[in-house]
Amino acid sequence: MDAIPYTIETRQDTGLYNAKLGIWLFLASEVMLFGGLFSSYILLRTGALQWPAGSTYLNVPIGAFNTLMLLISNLTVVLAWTALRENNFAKHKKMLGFTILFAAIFLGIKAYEYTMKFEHHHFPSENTFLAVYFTMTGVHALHILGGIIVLGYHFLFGGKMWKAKPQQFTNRLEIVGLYWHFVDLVWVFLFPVLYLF
Amino acid sequence: MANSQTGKIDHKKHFSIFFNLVFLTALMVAVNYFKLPGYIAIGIIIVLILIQAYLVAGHLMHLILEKNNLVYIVLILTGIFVAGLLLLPAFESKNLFEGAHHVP
Repeated sequence: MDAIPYTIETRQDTGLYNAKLGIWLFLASEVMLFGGLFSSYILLRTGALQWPAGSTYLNVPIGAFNTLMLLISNLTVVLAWTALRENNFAKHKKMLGFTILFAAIFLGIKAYEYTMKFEHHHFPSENTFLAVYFTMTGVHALHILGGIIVLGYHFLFGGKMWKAKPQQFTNRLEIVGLYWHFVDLVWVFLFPVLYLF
Repeated sequence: MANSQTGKIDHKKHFSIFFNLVFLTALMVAVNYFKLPGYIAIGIIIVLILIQAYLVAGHLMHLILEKNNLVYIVLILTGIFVAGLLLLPAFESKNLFEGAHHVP
């Protein structure tokens, strides 16, 4: 028996393998984190005498392009996982590489947006909208960065585990994918709320 | 991502969801571009957001295929708390507590 049980087989009491229950509990805590931020946004916005349109400060085409980058990375992470289920490790690695690439492009564009704001002396202290924008997109960007680190680890060192424990590695990728989809889901809400409202 | 036991892989479905998500994002940008009246634009965009959320959570995260009740219990409990969080500002704006505070 492995040192860590239920990495592949499901537990009788939960009906899930451990990592899957773990990721859903983690995602539930993440929902609460971002739920709190969205709640603060609504509170601040409804309490404000004036609220600038997102396009006053933010570039909608750049935001839309960034959304596209994240959507593509979501497609490629699914393809990376399905490739494992088809026993095609080469395709998996290629798709995982694309996922990391598009995630890095997303972060790069976000960094460019931040730089442009700072160059125009738009800081979080300027007004509530910018404070909310930097806080929410900053927390989200940290999640992207965390995702890139995890994806990068599997990209670099996944081959060894795939050879030794293919089913466990496939399950791991499922967990990583669920996290990555969640990060995309948050952006699905963030983009229109900040850029379009 | 699907449960590992859910069988056949449907690549067409994944691509279809991806293109739907891109299309919905384009629609949102179009609604913003054509400067529709405030509440109408916000209403349309909220509907589009909810459709996108359904596609990502329901299909890409395969929640609609999830057979395990424990996952739903975790998510329903979380949903109740988040709904409470999101409703707090509504109470605040209706002066149910100490009245609305205006911030700059």
